Amino acid sequence: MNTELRLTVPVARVLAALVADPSGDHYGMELMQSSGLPSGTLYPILARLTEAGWLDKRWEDIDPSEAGRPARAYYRLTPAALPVARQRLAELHEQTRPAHPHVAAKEATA
Amino acid sequence: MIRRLCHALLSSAARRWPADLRAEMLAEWRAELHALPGGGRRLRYAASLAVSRPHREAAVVVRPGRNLAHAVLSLVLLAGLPMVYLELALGWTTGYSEDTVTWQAWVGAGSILAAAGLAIICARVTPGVTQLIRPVLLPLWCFGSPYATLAAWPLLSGHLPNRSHLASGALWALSAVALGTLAARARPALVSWGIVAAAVPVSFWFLSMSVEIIAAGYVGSGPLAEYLFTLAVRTPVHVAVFLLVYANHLARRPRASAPEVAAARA
Repeated sequence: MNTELRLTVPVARVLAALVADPSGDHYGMELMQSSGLPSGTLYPILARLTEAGWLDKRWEDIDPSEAGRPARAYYRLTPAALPVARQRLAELHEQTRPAHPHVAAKEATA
Repeated sequence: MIRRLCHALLSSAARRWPADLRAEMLAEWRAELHALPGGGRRLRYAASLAVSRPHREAAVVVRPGRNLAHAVLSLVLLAGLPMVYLELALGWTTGYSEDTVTWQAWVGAGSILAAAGLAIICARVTPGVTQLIRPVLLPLWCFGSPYATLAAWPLLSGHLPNRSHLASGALWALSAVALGTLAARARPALVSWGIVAAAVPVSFWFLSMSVEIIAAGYVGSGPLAEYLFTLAVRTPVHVAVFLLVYANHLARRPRASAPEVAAARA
């Protein structure tokens, strides 16, 4: 798994959506809704994460003619990627967390 | 109607994706499109994919038999276009006066843009060169071909080449090749194209071995404006832009893998 993945804001949004339900199977439309990203941004990220070994992609096991619809593709974080994703999101959260009012006031008066 | 349009947009989007993922992504998008409610949402879904870029560029796959044809066409373009252009442009770059510098500056700037545009068109019609020549060697190919033609041109008319011109031309070509090779290896794209932009004045400096200023006194606003005017109207600069953009555009295009070439052959 490539851990040197660049964590941009859209990538972080997708990872956050996946981490929120790590054992669930996620499909494109659902990830678009939970991440707030349009399809043109989401799918290149999913492809990059899959190629980097962060995601497992599998096809829905249905007979399209019986189900009356085509099979969907499902994504899930790999077991190796889950702790890394959590750690990277926590680091990002820490970096972007606004300073505590007391700390900010101290820094301002220093 | 909307359904057809959505499918056309998805097919168009899939064509830009790498060949190994194309069919799989198209099937996935069609399945999601099928599940989406409402024509507007479907259209937005398909349009967003149609205007977006994939996570990696699709490799250019050229049928093996066409590689040689592309290389020959590339050689003809690289050796022929600069020679024809230098002959044609001779007329409007020799005289300067207060009345002409303004339109000469505009024509010069337009020529630089046209050279870059023409280079991209030429690179797109000769992608097979990258199957025969490694990307890092493309600048050498691009500057070596016109330099050899330029050096041999006087011999065809029964004259000996001017040694001074040959030497300054060699310095121009070598400096452009060195920076062009650096640009071909550089990542990301902004750095790579930044090196290409820097290679234009640097190679021009090697051509004249000085900061050449022409039309001094006619162009106002100081030495920088005079230098930019000089760069804009000098034909070797236009030729360098054409050759550098051509080389870098080709060098940056992903090369087809062996399975992709085999699939194209089949």
